[in-house]
Amino acid sequence: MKRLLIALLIAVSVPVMAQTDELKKLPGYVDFGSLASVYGEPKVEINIGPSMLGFVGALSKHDDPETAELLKGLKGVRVLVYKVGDDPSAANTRIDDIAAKLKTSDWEQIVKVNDDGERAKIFVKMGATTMDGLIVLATDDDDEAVFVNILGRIDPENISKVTQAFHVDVDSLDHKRHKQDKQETKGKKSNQDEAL
Amino acid sequence: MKPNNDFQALLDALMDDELDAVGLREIENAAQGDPIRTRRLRLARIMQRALGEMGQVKTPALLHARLRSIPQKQRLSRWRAWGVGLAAGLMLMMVSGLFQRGPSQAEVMQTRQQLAVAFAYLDKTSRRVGVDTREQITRSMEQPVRVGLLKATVL
Repeated sequence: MKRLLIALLIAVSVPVMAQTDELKKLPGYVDFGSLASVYGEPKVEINIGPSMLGFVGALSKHDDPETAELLKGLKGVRVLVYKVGDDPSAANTRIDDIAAKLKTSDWEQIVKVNDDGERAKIFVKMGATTMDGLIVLATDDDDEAVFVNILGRIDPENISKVTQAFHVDVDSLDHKRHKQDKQETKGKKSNQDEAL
Repeated sequence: MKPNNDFQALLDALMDDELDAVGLREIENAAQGDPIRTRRLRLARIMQRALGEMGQVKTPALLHARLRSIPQKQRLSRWRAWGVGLAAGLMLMMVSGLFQRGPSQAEVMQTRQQLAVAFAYLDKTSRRVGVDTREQITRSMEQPVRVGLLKATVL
């Protein structure tokens, strides 16, 4: 009975692992490693493989043709965002390490910024006839370290259209969170004052 | 009175058609006066008949001898093997059925939201660094085409 249960657990976990393994085999994949030991669990962690992208693209064809068009050439989308607080040094070191590795392989650096607390590096990998991947590595004054890996071909013209269509404003999400954190800190402080 | 382990071993042998006349008498004696054992014996006989009706392929003599050489305790009796195999098969069918159905509406919606967040970060980073990433990517994509055209012209 025990062996049967173990076999069932393996059968359930294989598809989940298979999606991640599927992404790793693609030419545009880059391993970001993990900064959880430094900054805790990531604020955002997204891993979408080719099969799910295919489903979403097929289902979006009629009601959202722009998204469907954007997803057409995509094979994978990965995002990691960490809250780095006042100490982005570990994140910056990781960015430099990844950038150094990418430069020695087929990745082309198209953007490099190092200015007033904002650092960003963007790489593109071109295949024989099409784009294999895009990497964005950045730390900013919102106290975040952002790692984005787009696998496959992405049409940059469609990115803004899609983000506008979804009405996602990452800045306002950050603002709401910051406000909530501030209020919680205020509440804690007044409790401490009362205790004294 | 025979201990329960021995009685179970006799039952297994009965269902595997490995009980001779002596063994049959033994198991009937062991069940006498015990309603639970009598019931188990009755069920085992029903199982034996059912397995018999399913038909058997005779195992080659050499394989049979090798199977018989496995110590009694380690042998999985046939009817238990059938039961375990059937349960495993049903579970596998259930699991593969679950994963072949495709994502649910909720999963699709969640993926769309995740995509929106992913592209929003992409867009945000581009705006923050003050660079038109679109232009940069488009330039990179054009380059192989230009090089290809140049080669074609030269040739």
